[in-house]
Order: sequence, then C-alpha cells, then structure tokens
Amino acid sequence: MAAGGNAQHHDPLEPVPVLVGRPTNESITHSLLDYLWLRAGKRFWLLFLAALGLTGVYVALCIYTIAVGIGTWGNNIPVGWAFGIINFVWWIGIGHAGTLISAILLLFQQKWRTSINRFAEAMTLFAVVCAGLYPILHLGRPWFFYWLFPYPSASRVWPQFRSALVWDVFAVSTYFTVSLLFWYVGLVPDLATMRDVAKSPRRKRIYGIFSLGWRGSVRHWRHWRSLYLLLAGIATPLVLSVHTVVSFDFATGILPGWHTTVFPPYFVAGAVFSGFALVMTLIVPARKLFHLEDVITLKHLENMNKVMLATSWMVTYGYAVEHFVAWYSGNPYETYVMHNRETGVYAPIFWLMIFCNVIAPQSFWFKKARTSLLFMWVVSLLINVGMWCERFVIIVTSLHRDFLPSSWRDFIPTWVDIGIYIGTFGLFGTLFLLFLRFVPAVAVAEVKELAYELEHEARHHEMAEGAS
Amino acid sequence: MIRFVLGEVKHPDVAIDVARAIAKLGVGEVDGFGPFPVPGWDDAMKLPKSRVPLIMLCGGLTGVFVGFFLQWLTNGWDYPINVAGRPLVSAPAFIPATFEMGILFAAISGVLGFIALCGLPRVWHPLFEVPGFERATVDRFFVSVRLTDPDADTTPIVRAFEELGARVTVVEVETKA
Repeated sequence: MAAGGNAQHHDPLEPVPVLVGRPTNESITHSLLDYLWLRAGKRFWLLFLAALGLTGVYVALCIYTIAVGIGTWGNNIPVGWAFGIINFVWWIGIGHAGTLISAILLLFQQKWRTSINRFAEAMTLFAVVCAGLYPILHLGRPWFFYWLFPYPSASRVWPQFRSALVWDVFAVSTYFTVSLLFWYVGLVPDLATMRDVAKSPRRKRIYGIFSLGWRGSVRHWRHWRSLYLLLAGIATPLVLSVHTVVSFDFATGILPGWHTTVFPPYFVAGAVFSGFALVMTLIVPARKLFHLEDVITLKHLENMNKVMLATSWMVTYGYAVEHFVAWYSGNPYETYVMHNRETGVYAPIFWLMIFCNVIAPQSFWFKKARTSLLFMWVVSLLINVGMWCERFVIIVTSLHRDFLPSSWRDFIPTWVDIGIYIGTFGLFGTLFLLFLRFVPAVAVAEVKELAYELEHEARHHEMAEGAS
Repeated sequence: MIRFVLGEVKHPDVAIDVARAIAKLGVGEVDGFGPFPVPGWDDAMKLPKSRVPLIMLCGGLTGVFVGFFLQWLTNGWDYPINVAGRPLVSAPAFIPATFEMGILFAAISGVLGFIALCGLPRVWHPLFEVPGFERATVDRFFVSVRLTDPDADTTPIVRAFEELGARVTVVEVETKA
C-alpha cells in the first residue's frame, strides 16, 4: 500500500497533501476499485431501500398530480410558480458545482480537483434530472412537454424564441447532454480498467462494452486529452449561461424583486455556493464509507470550504445590491418588496436565509472550522437550507404581493408539494447510490496522472535540495 | 499476416525512452499503451496534432448557424407573432438558444469525432490476447510495433527493447488488424 510520509516533500505553504503517501499505480487501482467488487453491505442496502422508498413516494405523487391536476399543489394566483420553480432552481444550482469542479478547476490547473471531480459530475447529472422534472410536471399537461421543442407539427405552431422559458429548455437540455458526455468521456478509461481487473466474465463483458474497447493507446490518449480539455472549455461558459438563463426567467419579468440586472451573476454565485455545499454534504460520509481518506484529503475539504466562504460573500453582495437598488430607485413597489421580505409573513424564511448563507459560512474564516469534519458537514447542510430559502424568498415574496392589493394572496404548500420535494431526494439518492455501486467514484486514471506529476515534482525538489 | 512486437516496462519514463529508441529505428507503426496520458509520451512518438479541436470548431459553428436559422425560420417567417410591434427577428433574444445550440453541436461532434478518430468502439483487439496486456490499463506501460511485411526482421526491434529492460513479446495475427 501507500509508502510512508517520509518520501513526501513538505511544502510549508501546503502542509496537507492532495494525495497521501506515494501510492503505486497498482495500489491506486485497488484502493479505488476494490470496493466495487464486494457485495453490498447492510448499510448500503438500508440506505438504498430508504432512497427507493422515497422514490416510490415521488412517483406516486407525480401520478397523483398528473391525474388530478396542478390544483393538488399550493400554487395560486398570484403565486403561480411556488414549489415547482423553487425546487427546479435549487436542484439545478446544486448541479453547477459539479461542472465548476470538473471543468473550471481543470482549466485553472487546480490539481486538488482530481479526486472529487467524478463524484461532483455524477451529482450534477442526477441533480439536473431532479430539476428538469419539476417544470415538466408544472406544465399542467406534462404529456405535451415535447411541444417545448421546435419540431414541425401538424398545427404549424412553433415555440416563441423571444421567451425566456424557451431559452430555459435549450439551456437545461444542452447542459444535461454536455454534462453526460463529459462524464462519460472521463469514465471510458476507468471502465476499461474495470474490465481488465474484473474477475467474472460477465462483468468483463459489460464493462468491456461500456469502455468501447479502450486499450490505453497513446494515440487515443492524445485525442482524449484534447477532447476532455475542450469539453471543459465549453462547459465553463455553458454552466455560466445555464444559470444566467434561469435567472432570466425572473429578470425579464417586470415584477418588483425580479426585474434586476444583478440576477445573472448573483444566481451563478448562488449555484456554485449551494453546489459545493451539497458535494460536501455527500462527500464527508462517502469518503468514510468507502475509505477514500487517502485520496480525498482534508486539503480538498478545506479548499471547498474556502470556495464556500468566497461564494457566500458573492451572494451576500447580491442581497445587499438588491436592497440598495430598491432603496436608491425610489420605486415604491421595489421598496415595498424588500421591506416585505424583512418584515412580512415570510420574514422568518428571509432571516433564516441570512443566517444560513451570510452568517454561518463566516465560521470558515477559522482554520479549526474549515478542518473539522462534523462542523463543515453541519454548515454545508445549513447552506443547502439557506439556498432553498433564498429561492423561496425570491419567488414567493415577490409574487404574493401583486401590484394590486386586491389580488394579494399568501402561499401555503400542500402535502403534495412537500411530498414531491422530499421524494426527489429519494430519486437523487437512488441514482447516486447506484452510481457508487457500479462506477468508480474517483477518476482512477486522473489520480494516477496526478501521482506521476507529484512524483516528478518531488524528484525535482529533492534534486534542487541536493544541489544547494 | 500481421505481427506485433510488444515491449512492456514498469515506469512511464522508461516507456518514453523506449518509444524514442524505436522511433529512431523507423520500422513499422509504433504505438504505446498506458493507464494514463503520460505527459511527453505522445510528443516522443512524434504524433500529429489531434484533429478533435477542428471537428469541434466545425460542429460548434454549424450549431450556431442551425440555431439562429431555426429561430429565424420559425419565428420570423413561418409563424410570426406580433408582440406589441416588436421586431419579429430580434437577434438579442435569439442569442441564448443560438449559443446553447453551438455548445451542444460542438460537444456532440467532439465526442463522435473522438470515437471515430480512435476507431472505437472496438471491443476486441489482437493485443488483448497477449497475456499481461490487461495491465496496460492498470500499472504497466507498453510500446508496440506493428509490422505488415511478413519478411521484416524483428531482431533490431527486440534488441532495442531489451537494451532498455523491456519484456518483449511477438504476436502474430492471421487476419487484418
């Protein structure tokens, strides 16, 4: 297994390594893949059945909604969007951290991303699945969802491309497709490794098919590298565009509290913030469960906490600008919306949001907080809650006080609303547990490359020390 | 009949040296196999630039044109809706979908191009029959020379391999490979 720490060179600025010890390629392969051959343990089955049960609840409630109608939800006029869109924005925002980690950090040559990118990309995919189902259900007649796409129909009606909602369809479906391709391209070499270390012929065959017969040829690696880098390159503007387009759903409306130019950057920062929080929520238990501590070290977790601290300030800036502009504009409707957020019926949710998104992450200024597993896990949960509250605040508080006081109405979620929301966790959990069971959760080939680079660096360092 | 001369080494840096030595001999088609993209190995083999970027650029530009044309066709020509006298073909409003289509086409054409350039999917390859070759995706590094001429002499290749400490196997394949 991994060699002792004496071979590791110690950089005073980077005391915690991104990879513990100097593992050989063989030990990397085994430590990252062996758990996949083991029979699923009791804990896994317990989690899986729980997730599957919740998925059942989700499916049942979707059927109920489709059969009876959107009236089963708490939506009303003027609060026409409510849970369906809150949860859509929340889930899709969560997905963005995956792309950020895998694409943007790759472009910035942040080596620490290597151990967590596969994990985060899988999270992206499943979060987008959960997100995409909400607007479709919210259509009212979800079986006609294909009307959203421009296809030559007999009625000769086309989608209206000057509407932000159509942009959303294009953005989210492109995002899902590109994320899936990026994830799969990264997986191909690892699936080939799985084919080659698998013992049973059946597994060999299955992984053989999914690896497309990859044989690690240098010629293929050259194309692979170039493709992987370019996919990362185009995924970066894509992820920014997706949440920008999501924010356009609001910003192109004239509603006070929505009609503001700060929305695109504010939404993107919020997306990254909540996404990192969810990666943290999932990775802290998973690294323990699958013994990945040597590959996903405290360094990764600490860096993620720093990203959360930074993005927390960006969202805080968003809140501040919203309030400032409302006051500065002198527009009574805008001023009222902000006043109502702080003091109206939904004020507790607003203040919970402030606590979770602005105050709680400030603890990450302290190294003790950034490196305590339990503490960061709790804060990551709080951020998830806070970001959900943010979307609630944006959508519901802006809608429930219309321009005309005669149409004011509060929103109360029904049990179907809440059930569907909880149910999507089941769907997400089921997909995620299946991923952990059948696919390497850490990019094996990339960790080997990282180990090789670190070895070279260490040798350089030793030579430099020997010379001086 | 086609022959492969295959040399196996344990360290990627040695594999690069082997690839260089074999390239100097100038015989057959040289390839290398390893569990990760070793920096410098492809350059040592003097491989041409990958055409994936070009394919993606063409795909992306096609997507942009298709995307914009689609919107112009549907909203500007086939089904115009007058919304308070605003222009039917309004480029700013068409940008998001155009951009997304560009990205989508670039990604799909990139992946398809990559698969085609690599000659995948190909679930069987003659080298898979070599015992130990399965470690090419785990922890071993291989350099192969593909010889199509049945009379070609393998001894200089084998010698070059052995000088650098590689374990050598010669594989004969009856079919075209």
